[in-house]
Amino acid sequence: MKKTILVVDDSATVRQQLAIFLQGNGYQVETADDGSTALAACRLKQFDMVITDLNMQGMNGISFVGELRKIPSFASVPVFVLTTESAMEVMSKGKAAGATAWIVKPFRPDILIKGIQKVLGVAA
Amino acid sequence: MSEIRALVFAWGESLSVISDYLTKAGMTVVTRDPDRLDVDLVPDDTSVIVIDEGAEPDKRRGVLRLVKRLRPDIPVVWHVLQAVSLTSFSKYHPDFVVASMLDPGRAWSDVADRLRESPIPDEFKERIKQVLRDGVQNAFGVSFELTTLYIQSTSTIAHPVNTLLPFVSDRVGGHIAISGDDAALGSVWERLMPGTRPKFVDEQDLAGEIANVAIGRLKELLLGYQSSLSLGMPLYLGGDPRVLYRTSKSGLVVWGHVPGINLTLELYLKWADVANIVPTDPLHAHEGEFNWV
Repeated sequence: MKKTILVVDDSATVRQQLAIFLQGNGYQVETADDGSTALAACRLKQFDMVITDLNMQGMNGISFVGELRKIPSFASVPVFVLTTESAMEVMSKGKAAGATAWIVKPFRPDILIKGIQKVLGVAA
Repeated sequence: MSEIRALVFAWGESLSVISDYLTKAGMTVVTRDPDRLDVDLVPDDTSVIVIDEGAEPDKRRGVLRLVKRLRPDIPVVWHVLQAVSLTSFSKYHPDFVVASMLDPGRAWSDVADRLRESPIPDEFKERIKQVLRDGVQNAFGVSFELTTLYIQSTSTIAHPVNTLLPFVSDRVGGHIAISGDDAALGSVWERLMPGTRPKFVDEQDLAGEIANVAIGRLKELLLGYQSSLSLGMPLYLGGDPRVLYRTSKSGLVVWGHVPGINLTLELYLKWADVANIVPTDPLHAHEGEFNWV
């Protein structure tokens, strides 16, 4: 059974780019355009992994990760933050909120997929 | 630069008006017959060349091309009445754009001050150009040709899709604007997502994401200047070319276009307080890198 990844980003460009890339690598993908919408989706459905942007209108990525970790079934689900933000100070906040990994945009496909495979295993 | 010798190309009444303001700003004015262009056009002791856009902008761009080829070391001031579209310059750009309609005395004094002392170090300008060029190239596969110039005028929108992202920190303030047409943004979109076609809102979003990535790299650069950048809300502007999107009048612009397509980038720095900072390589994550946290 294919693993399902939730992509959270307020940019349609990034959502679609990631969806095409991840689907091409054998994963199912669902998308949300902000933290609140993503959180609502996670309360209704279990995902195997989440990739989220940081700077979004409404609930930002770090708040989203913090709230996500309060849902028991998402306590240990891998969450990658994919953002243009590169400051260590902000990364530390992401870590404290419960992020698994941090990737500075633009992502390199080979590096991103290796990271995903490490936490999810090679896709079918 | 103590004495500033300004070589002025202006036509008709503009010549005497501009010369008068240049003199009041402390410059020595030299004039040439603008319709007789030859290789001895620019005297060796010229500090700055002033070209009035006037009523025949294409003809004036011919003068710009010639003087830039003859003396690329001498700064050129492009004089307009009110607003300028930077897309009208292709290979050769002026170093200053000045609009003198509202406050000509101050505009020309500012030019004189900038010529005497550059408030933003060249090294910083070069670093900005490098991070913008590399960041956008790596993310979107498009290569901007970038130049820097001082602007004292408003700008007009040149293309139908425009995104403007303001930013501020304790050391810099300004905005970045990405502007393009359907064909240009469509070609970038298809390069990223082959086989798909963007709608208008997708093109706007793509322009916003280009701005976002470019600002991300600027943010990373500023960490080395001990400064943290905050972003404002992005603005999506329609393509009415009469819309003026830069109303603050004086500042440094890093301006770029992608050869062959109608896609432009404008990073506008209203101010940048970096002159006395020795940049360091701060602890930060690098683009594309995977960081387990």
